[in-house]
Amino acid sequence: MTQPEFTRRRLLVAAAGVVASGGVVGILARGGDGDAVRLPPLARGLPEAQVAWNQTLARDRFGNRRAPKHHRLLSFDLAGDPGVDKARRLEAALRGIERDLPYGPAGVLTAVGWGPSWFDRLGIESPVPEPVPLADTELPQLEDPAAVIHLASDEVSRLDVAQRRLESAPGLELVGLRNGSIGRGLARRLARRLELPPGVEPPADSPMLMGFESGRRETQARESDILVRSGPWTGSTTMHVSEIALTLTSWYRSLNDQDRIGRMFGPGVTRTDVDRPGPGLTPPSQAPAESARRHGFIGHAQAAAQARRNGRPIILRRDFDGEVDGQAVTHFVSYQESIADFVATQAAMNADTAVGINGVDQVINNGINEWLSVRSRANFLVPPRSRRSFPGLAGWDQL
Amino acid sequence: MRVPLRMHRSRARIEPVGENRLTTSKFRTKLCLAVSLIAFTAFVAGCGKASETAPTTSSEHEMPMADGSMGMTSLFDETIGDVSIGMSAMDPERFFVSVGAEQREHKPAPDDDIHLMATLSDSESGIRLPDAAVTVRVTGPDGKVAYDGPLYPMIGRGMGMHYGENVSLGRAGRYTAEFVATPPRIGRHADSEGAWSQTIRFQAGFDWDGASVGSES
Repeated sequence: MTQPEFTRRRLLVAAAGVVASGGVVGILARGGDGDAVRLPPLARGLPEAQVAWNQTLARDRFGNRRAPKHHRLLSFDLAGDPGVDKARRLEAALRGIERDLPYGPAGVLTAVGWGPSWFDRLGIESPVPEPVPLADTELPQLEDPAAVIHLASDEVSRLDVAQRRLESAPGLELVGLRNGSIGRGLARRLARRLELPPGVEPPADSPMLMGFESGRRETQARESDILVRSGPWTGSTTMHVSEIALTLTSWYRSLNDQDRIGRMFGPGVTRTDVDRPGPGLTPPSQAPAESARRHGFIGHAQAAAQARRNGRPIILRRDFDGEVDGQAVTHFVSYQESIADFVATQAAMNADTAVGINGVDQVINNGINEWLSVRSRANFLVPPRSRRSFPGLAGWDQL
Repeated sequence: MRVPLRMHRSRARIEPVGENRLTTSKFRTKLCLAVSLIAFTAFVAGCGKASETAPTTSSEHEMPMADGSMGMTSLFDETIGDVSIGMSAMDPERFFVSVGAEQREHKPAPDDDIHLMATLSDSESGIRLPDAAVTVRVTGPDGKVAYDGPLYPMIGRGMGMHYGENVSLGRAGRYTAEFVATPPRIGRHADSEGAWSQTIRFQAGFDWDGASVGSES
């Protein structure tokens, strides 16, 4: 096999220096097939970590970031055999998007992830495991597309532009699409589209369908916390994507506001606590088993907080709500250093230590589990930006 | 644009049961018999005595309720290992869920069609099994999910111990139920040590005729 004149990694390292000095015209990448194809330069100032979105997001005085309003997950399988030319074209499409649309919610944010089936295809060990069910009561479809691309923007039209560019890159075939939104008032708009029964809808200003906001600073892992620190995939992060159906009729009909607060956060939390501005509501520190004993229920945030390390969450949630076949869903996108971190957080949410106590089981009276049904799960590796297209492909991305 | 395509290459979590024992959705009622000569299913409703006998398939006689109370329809029966599962439906029902020392009311919604009920029983003795976590996903003839969530543990004087919830099915046709039940946590005598220890997962079909189940009341 002919050795390419430059490996892609060496080119990019050189390019980074040149870009910083502001004098790049174009980069030639010579693939194994001998053809030279012009790869546009990487836009300036982009962070190496694909998940580094926070710097572009508006923040309030507590450091809470406002998530982009509209999100789309595109899943792809391989179209034919992978090759350097296809990798180059995908990378060119991504760079074109970054050149033409600003990096941030006014333009578009992207994160490209690759699943176990991609690494199997290469014949190399997958850095992320295949998905498995994570609770005894769930029946998820276990999905394994070759790649997923998470797009986010404050404008749906930007997502459309990005999607068209990505679909035109050969080598990947679009096989799945999930849309959704998160933001003040958007949940009510989505609820109206879902034609939910009377009395079953989130408050007018709620960003999410269950009526609470999500993602305040202290409830999220930091972007720097979730990067792989060593090994061949240093600088990557992992991504877990699940689709979760929401039983909103029961959530709004059988509970009052105080009940919902208790289930979302924990016993003793009040509406005043929830509405108080700040970097995040600290969940009750009482152990879930003790709350079960005393109150007959536990809170979701209370349970999930059991997975914190040094007081910090270990996953970064970029979830959003949507609709699938007329049903309300949350597309739960989570970024973390290792899929094991996600599994640990889900295990905390299962709250096994409280199950069997005073009427709490795996689902009933157990946080918000009673109103969630996991429809699918998938795992991906999100490489650094310089390796985001066909990572590990021989002749293109050296491990 | 909205094309909610599913992600590709999914592996279904559970396999359908070899032969779905479909029942017709004809309205059936059972007379509650004090005599135990006839082994009737766990789906007897409307009488003061809970049945504790072995479950059977749904092929029995139909009789009106002597006291005129609501009847029910058997949807399917299944036995997996040492657990027998029966699914049935009756009119939407107001019920209460235990939360610690309190009971929280669940009222049926105007668009609820049925009170969906599952019984878990020991396949050998027919005794009811409490303290399991039961969830079900019901998909309708149009492929849309009609219900996806827990069945709550409860008892009723006519029905005995079961797991239930009010559900809006809507249109008539063939439905699929994907069912999960965790092992019951209830204490037991030594003769049942280690029994009912597997989480049960299966899927079965049933027909729904689109009409409410019970007699007018």
